[in-house]
Amino acid sequence: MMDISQDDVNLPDNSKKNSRRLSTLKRGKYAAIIFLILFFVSLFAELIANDKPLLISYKGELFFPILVSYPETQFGGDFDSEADYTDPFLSEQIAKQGWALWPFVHYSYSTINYELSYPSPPTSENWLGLDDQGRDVFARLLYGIRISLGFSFFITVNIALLALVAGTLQGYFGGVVDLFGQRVSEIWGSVPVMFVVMIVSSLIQPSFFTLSMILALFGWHYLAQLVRAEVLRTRQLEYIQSALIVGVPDWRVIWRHIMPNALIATLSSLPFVFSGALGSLITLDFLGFGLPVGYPSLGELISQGKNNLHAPWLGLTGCGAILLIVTLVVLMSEAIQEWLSPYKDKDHAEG
Amino acid sequence: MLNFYFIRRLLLVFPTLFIIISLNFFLLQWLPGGPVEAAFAKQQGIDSSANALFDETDQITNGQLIDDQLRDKIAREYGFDKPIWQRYTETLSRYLSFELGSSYFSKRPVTELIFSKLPVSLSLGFWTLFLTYLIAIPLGVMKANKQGGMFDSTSSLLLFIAYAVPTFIIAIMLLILFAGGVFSWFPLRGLVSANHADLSVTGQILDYFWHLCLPVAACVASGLASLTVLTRNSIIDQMAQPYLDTAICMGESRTSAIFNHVLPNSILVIVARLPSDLLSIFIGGTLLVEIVFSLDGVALLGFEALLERDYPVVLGILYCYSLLGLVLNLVGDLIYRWVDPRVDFSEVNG
Repeated sequence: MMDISQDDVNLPDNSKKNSRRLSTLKRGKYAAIIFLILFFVSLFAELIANDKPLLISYKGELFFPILVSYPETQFGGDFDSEADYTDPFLSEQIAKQGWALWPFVHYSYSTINYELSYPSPPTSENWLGLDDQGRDVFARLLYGIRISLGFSFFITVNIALLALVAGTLQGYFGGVVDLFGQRVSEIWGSVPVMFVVMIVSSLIQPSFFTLSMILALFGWHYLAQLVRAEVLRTRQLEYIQSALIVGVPDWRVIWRHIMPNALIATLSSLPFVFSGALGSLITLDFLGFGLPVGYPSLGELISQGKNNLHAPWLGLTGCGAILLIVTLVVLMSEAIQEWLSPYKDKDHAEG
Repeated sequence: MLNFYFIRRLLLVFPTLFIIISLNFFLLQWLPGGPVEAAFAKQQGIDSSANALFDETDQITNGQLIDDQLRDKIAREYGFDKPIWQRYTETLSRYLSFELGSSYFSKRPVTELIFSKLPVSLSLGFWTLFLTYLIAIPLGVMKANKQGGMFDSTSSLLLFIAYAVPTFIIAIMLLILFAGGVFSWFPLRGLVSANHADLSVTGQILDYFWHLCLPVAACVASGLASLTVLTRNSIIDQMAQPYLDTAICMGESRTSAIFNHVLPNSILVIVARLPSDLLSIFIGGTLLVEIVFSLDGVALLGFEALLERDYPVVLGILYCYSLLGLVLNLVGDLIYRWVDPRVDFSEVNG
């Protein structure tokens, strides 16, 4: 049934292994570059998709609508309220007495396009169509990616710090600390995170920070297990044992010898923590317990896609964006693992 | 030493379970808008089921509107006039004897409710598990054979992406692509069609599998990676053992040596994972898949009960899940230890 030749089964020779290693590293590097570009571009979402012009020249004066809020009277309107630059009357006024420099996309994440019936398929004006509330999908996607990536970064950093501290202490001191820590982690793992988030969302409107703190607080125990295992292994190494015999204080051994090892072990699983955080935010937004209503979020876009099957571009856009981000993260994690593997091999030989 | 360790682990299950139940109980008590408000809302005709979830309406009723008299009446009816510690001890003593109470709203016993939804969840879980093992083991063998090659690295990449994308995103993608958005090949919701009872036996079976295709595909896609990679690595481990060379030297073909000697040895490690796989399939990704495909299973029951603040149902489901989780974890460790005696779970002495 399977063609198994002798060559295939033998371990790949070094040159083959090296070339594969190099190509993984290269792939990871390109993924990281695309990822950073995506993140960088989304950081400047206001300059790319906005319902206000970047720059207006009116009667020889320069205005910066993105930075400063100008009243409508400034441009010949009748009201003192903030100018609505999409208003045809106003744009006519500005066109008559000067010019306006617009971002690529004339819609912000909450701008409603009243001219089309929605949800509307992609047009030259709305590149990815309109969602079921008449908002531009491209703008919402751009702002949504920024929030999702920032959120996941924030959680990943917090989880890594918590897990490093907890796992190191548990693994280093062992015994009662370890047994107790294992029970805590067992209980912690069984706390229904969804409940906690639901409780908090009904008590207060969850903001970016409260939501990320809760998710970080209930997400560290799994990584702490990995750190614990790594520390349990490293502390048996000869140089650490000798350091202890010589009388180097505990905190110093932990800081100088245990932590760096644990950090390297943690590094390769961080991409998965990141995609896990991304997943939880999307799930919560999908269920309606995440960020406040009106936020540009990928989860909300996906739930719109599920509810509007006649408008498949909504869900496919959201799912496609998530698929792209996750693929980039996986490619990067492969490269990180490959990059760390010499350390790993060495550790195995010693341990 | 081994027995001592596992007896201690077994004994530790009880306090852990006790703490989990207490934690869940008090968490639920803390949840604002309790069953009293929910019952009131129901009488006012406000829908708080999962269907209202996607309408972005605020399900929590305005507290000021609640008529105090009616509120007191409902509170008495649900036993909410008793102090919290009394309800807590009552709940605990009932749970010790597996008496899970009955639902506030449908008045049916929780155990009966769970059992009525079990076929759906079990269908999803069983076929997912079956297909995952059916695909993962041959795939793992193939990857181990072509280790380091193009096939190995490409399939690894795809598996990891499927693993890292949340299960329900895969579910929604399948839904949009194959159940109405682009192609209408598969049904949108439910486990069987409305006319299921009128179909012939073969028709009924086909109908059942036709409805299960997409949900099971979504669950399998995300669960496949870990098992395949485990199989692959375990086989690579075994292939380095000298007995493979011995068998080949004695004239056995490589393929038959791998299937007769390597696979049985590697499969032990894979079987040892069965309990934890069972756990992750039943508890992990199913909730959202059940919501996406409107499958009326235990997870959806729990979620709707939570929205309605039907505490006995929520607590009952959590109790079953926690118990199942602790027991399966212990069983998993036991099998693991039995399969590979080198594994030692006791503390390392520093």
